Amino acid sequence: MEERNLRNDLNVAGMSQTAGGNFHRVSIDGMAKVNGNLDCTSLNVNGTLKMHGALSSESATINGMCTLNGPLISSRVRVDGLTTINGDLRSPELEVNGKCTVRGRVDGERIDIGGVIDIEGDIQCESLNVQGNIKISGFLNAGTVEIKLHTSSSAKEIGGERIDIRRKEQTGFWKSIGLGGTPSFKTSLIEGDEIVLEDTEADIVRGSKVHIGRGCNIRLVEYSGELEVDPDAKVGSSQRI
Amino acid sequence: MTDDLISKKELLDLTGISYGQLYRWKRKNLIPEEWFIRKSSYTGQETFFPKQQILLRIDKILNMKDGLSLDELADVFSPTLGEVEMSAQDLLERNIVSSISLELLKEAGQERSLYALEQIMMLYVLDKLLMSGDITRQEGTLLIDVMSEHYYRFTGKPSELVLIRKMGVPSFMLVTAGTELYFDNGVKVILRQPMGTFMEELKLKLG
Repeated sequence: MEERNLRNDLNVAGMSQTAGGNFHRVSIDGMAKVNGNLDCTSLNVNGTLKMHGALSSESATINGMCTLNGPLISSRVRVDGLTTINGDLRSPELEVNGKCTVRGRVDGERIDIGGVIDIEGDIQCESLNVQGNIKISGFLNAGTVEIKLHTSSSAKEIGGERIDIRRKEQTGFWKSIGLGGTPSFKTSLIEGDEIVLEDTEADIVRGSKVHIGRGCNIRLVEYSGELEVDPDAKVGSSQRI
Repeated sequence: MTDDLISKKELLDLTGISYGQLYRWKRKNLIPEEWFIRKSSYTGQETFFPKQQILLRIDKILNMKDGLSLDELADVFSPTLGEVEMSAQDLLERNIVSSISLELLKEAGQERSLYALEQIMMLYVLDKLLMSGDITRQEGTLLIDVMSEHYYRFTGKPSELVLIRKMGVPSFMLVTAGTELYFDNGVKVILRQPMGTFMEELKLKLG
């Protein structure tokens, strides 16, 4: 493969349509449509990008709007705008401060969500940090999961080492408008070594050290080490295994 | 697929590993996705594993963990082919295959000066099956045929080797791992083994 920094740059200011290809730095400041695959060192979108094909880049920053009809492979992805990926997303580092919709699976190492993410497939990473809203239709497999609940979030199943889902106190303005409903988390199954939950509705929770905090509604808890249940939580039955 | 499944709970009880470890190994691709079999049970959905394969795999991971990092381990278990080239002499000296299988390969007209991993794998499987007495020399030729013709199609995918006999007439098959196969009454399945286990053994020998 040719050296990436010997390639041309692609700059779009205004409206343009291109076929895709290999570039060094790609920056979209207007509206662009790419009708093929794009391979580049860095991608910067400040306007609108619509792509029909796969995107692979070393880093991708999206400040505007971006729709990808294909997989996104990158070593660093930051979404501050609105992004829809009709495919898989693979990036060791992913940061979402806007809204990101992925219609495939997500593979990463460190994932930070400050905004909203909606994933239709499974998600797999070492650490997941959420300070926003997350909806996973598939299975969440992560080393550490830390979710600060703002609104209603959900995942089909969660498995990992440390799972920490807690309420974030809302004050003043945000509380009064009640944006997105009360903080809650819905899932069918949580399995992990250390589990701390608040405001979570789950069918089964399994772990060795389990803390069920306020506002939880769990049908069955299975634990091997210790279990603490807040008086403000509902637990159908618990069993030491 | 064999009916011999083990539930996740039983597995953790039996091996003493935690949920965290199990999921970490899954993330590192030490345990393939297709081994996680979802079935409904009286408590709702439950996950099952092919018992023999998963117990063997976990045993291996636990025993080799100290010497190798998880990523290196993943390399050992991955079904993809690496970059290896060895001559017949090397293979004999390193005790990977015996001269019998090399001769058989020569008879089949597939002799090379250097063997890539794909061919070493073929020789290794051939040698193992011949030595264990599972197949005859004639069947060995069939094995060479099917593996040299079709094994490349499974690059990066798990596959199984199946040997059937009907009225003494043998036939080899390479199938995607986990495929269900049904035969008429006269067919006897002599052997059904995941290629992955051969590859793991071989990679450890080459390593």
